[in-house]
Amino acid sequence: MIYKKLIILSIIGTLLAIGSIYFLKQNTYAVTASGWKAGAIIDDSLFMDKDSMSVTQIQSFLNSKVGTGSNGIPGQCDTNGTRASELGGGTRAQYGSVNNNPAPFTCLKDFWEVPKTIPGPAIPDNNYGGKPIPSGARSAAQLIWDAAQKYNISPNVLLVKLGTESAGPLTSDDWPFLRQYTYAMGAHCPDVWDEAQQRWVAKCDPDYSGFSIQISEAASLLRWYLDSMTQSWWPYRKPYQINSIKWNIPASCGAANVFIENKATAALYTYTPYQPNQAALNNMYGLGDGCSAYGNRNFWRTYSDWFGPTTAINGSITISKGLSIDKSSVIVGDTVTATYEVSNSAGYDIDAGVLGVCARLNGANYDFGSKGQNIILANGKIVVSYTKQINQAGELTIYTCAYLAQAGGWISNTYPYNINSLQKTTTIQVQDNPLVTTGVALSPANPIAGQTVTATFTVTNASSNPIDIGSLFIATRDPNGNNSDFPTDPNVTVPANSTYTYSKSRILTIAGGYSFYIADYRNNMWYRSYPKSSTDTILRQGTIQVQDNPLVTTGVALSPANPIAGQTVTATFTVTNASSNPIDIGSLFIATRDPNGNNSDFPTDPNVTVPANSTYTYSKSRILTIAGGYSFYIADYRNATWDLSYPKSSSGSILRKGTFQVQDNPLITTSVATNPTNPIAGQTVTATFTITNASSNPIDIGALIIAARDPSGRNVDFPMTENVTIAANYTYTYSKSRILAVAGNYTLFVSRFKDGAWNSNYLKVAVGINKSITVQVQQQ
Amino acid sequence: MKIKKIKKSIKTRNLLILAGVSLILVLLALWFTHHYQLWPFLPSIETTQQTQELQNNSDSTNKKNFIDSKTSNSDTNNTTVEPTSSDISLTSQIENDGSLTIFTRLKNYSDGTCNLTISNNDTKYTQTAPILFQTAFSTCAGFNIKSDVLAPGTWQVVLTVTSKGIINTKTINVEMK
Repeated sequence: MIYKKLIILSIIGTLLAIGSIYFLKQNTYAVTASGWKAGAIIDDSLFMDKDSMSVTQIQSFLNSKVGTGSNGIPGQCDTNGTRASELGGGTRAQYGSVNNNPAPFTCLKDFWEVPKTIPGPAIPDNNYGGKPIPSGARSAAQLIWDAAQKYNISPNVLLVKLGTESAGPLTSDDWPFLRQYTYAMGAHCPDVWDEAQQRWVAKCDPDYSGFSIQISEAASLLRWYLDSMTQSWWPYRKPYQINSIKWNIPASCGAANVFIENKATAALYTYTPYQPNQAALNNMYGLGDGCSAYGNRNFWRTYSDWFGPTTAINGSITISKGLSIDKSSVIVGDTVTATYEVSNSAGYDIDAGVLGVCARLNGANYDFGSKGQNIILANGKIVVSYTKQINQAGELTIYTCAYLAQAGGWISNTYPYNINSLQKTTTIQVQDNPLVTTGVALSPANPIAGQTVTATFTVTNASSNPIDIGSLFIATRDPNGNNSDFPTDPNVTVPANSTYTYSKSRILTIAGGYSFYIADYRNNMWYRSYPKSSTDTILRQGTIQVQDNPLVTTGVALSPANPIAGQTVTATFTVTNASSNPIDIGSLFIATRDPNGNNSDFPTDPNVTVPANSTYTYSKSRILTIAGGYSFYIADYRNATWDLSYPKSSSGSILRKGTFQVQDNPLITTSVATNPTNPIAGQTVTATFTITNASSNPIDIGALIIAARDPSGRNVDFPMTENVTIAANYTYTYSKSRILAVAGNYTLFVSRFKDGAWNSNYLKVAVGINKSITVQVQQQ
Repeated sequence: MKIKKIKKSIKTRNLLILAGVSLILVLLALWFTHHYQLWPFLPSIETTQQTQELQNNSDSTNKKNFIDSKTSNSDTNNTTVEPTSSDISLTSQIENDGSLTIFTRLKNYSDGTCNLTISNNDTKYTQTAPILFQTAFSTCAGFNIKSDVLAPGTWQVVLTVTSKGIINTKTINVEMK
């Protein structure tokens, strides 16, 4: 049991030890003289890595460094100078007052200044000494980052330069004087022999006074140096060759030859043209002898202390030709080739690791490709090139990418090193393709219901590759919202630089407004907006109006036009199908109601199908038995539904419903008369009248009489004629006699008996005809 | 007695296993730290503290010297030295490809413009370049004249340096072959 515990403790202890070592490694990297390489102070790749720190990281760095000098508290600025001055003279505030810089002090981490971009003697506005941050000012961290970006110098390098060139130095000073900011980088501060002091002093150019211009000028000078040092006229330190570099300004100190291995080191020796002698190296954190110069030693030492080794993993692997793509504009379907070149400036072969071209399309992974084991020969180069067909529109960001296991994995941002600030990334807008280049058109342009309609549109693939656009059709909804899609063209592939034409037909069966849009089905997905239109005027969706069809083209007509009761009436109308297809319009008839509201429909014509481009004529007859006003309308019965408005009229003047009048029939066409006209009491009188049946059908009148009432109102009817049926278009004459016995006024009127009832109103009279008279019988 | 022996042999075996495991772990730790370049461990923390103190002392001295060397925040003692023609050094070199390189060394110049005129009796060429600052001496950045421009013979090279309103000139003759 105890052994198990011991084993566990051993494991934990070992892991803790490793962790501690690793932690210490992250925070301290002290250097010694043996590590100094005069010809390779720092790798180009580190020196020119402008992305080594973000503004936030620089700010955090400054926050952490302040107060790490004498008598300071790390992370704190002694703004009010309350701590004891390590320079003597009481507190720092007291020391500052005596030396023309009273508290409050503003530390670098809190320092803001309006960038000075044009040389001039004025010190730019800043917030030193508790002043408010001026308008347009930028933080020290931001100014450092800005300069790094502009001149492609590592922010680390600028920080180290600031930490080694400025008094204090500013990076750690927790009670800096304003004058420490004025020439913080020593930029434009030439070494001048001061006769009075009998020593070399830095006489700074007031035109370059101010923190912001010092930072930007230092970066600018380094960039000048880097870019100019291989020119023939270059009088300073040169890379890739032996240079004589002095130990210090006095010629008596001498010089030593140094083979400068890279541009960064040459730039450092140009900026600070002395190398540390052995005495300076032996006392790495202190002073050497009278000929010791410390600028480049301190740069190397400080860089190492702050940021680790000055040599980078695969430091000689750099981008020598920036990322380029073979197209200035890209449309969906295009094949894009992205290329860049990577060089190895070392004199030996190097495995550059995994190199590739990565991409993000609308934020999603869209890598072109990569491969490992890129062996670049000594002083050689390789071209990294990948091609990919772009199949989606949107924002495409392409960038160089790299994986280096010994550097921790994917390090595309920093590797291969981009010392010449070449293009590593590019963003392009991939334009939609294919596009609908001819909008939806219908043939006929104004279709009618039941007509075969052909819909067309074209899709153009402007790319150099064929594009599979899946299945295309025109989604259509009829006026009731039901699916009326045009047929699908499946698996459409538009060849490169070609135009595909969709042309499909279908019958739009009902009239009204249809909506439509071009629809696409690809990869198990429906797309309503693909392909897009090439311009706003190209119609890929909209509405169409399908005209009514068939239409009633000849309104309802009756024959005879003014029918009489009992007459056979023929009703007609015509329906025209203007479409190219036969139309089943169901059963048609003329619904009719007689004057009493009873059904008097004309007969039905069942299962009417109107052939294409044809006119159907409805013509049905019936007897309208009673006189009076009739109403009618064309009625249709389809799909178990009555439709009283179908088919519609082709115009407002075409009658599909209305009323008509059926004239009375039969009529008394000769008034009731007696013979003799003025009879004498006791005389035999003959009474007559005639009834005309003007219809084409015989009419069963029933029994007819001339009813008579004597002067006392007693019934003295003339004899009855039974079962009177008047043939078609025939006039019947009633003529009966009797004796009128007493004198006085007699009333005579026509009456009819049928179905067990007398009706004196049944028989109507023609104009000017009387069916009732008074007869005066004279006394004998 | 026999039981005791057995217990002892088990104890010995366990100790051997423990030693073996510990050894493997230590070797692993060493390999790990070496693989990730965590050792050799230089310097010791004590040394780092000492060097930090040294550094702080040096920084304090520098700051004090800096403050003492300035009389005020206006830094009037930073007024630059006004350059003269004698601060201009002008030399030339005919390169292997026949081109002519003009080397310039400008003392007491912080910025400005260089105008180079090279002429003979018949021809005159001019070039302009900015002054590139360097702490020991600045330079014109920079002049190189292609061989096909310069016919054999004597050419007069005149460098005019303009800085902060001051104009200085230096002239040399170059013999082209």
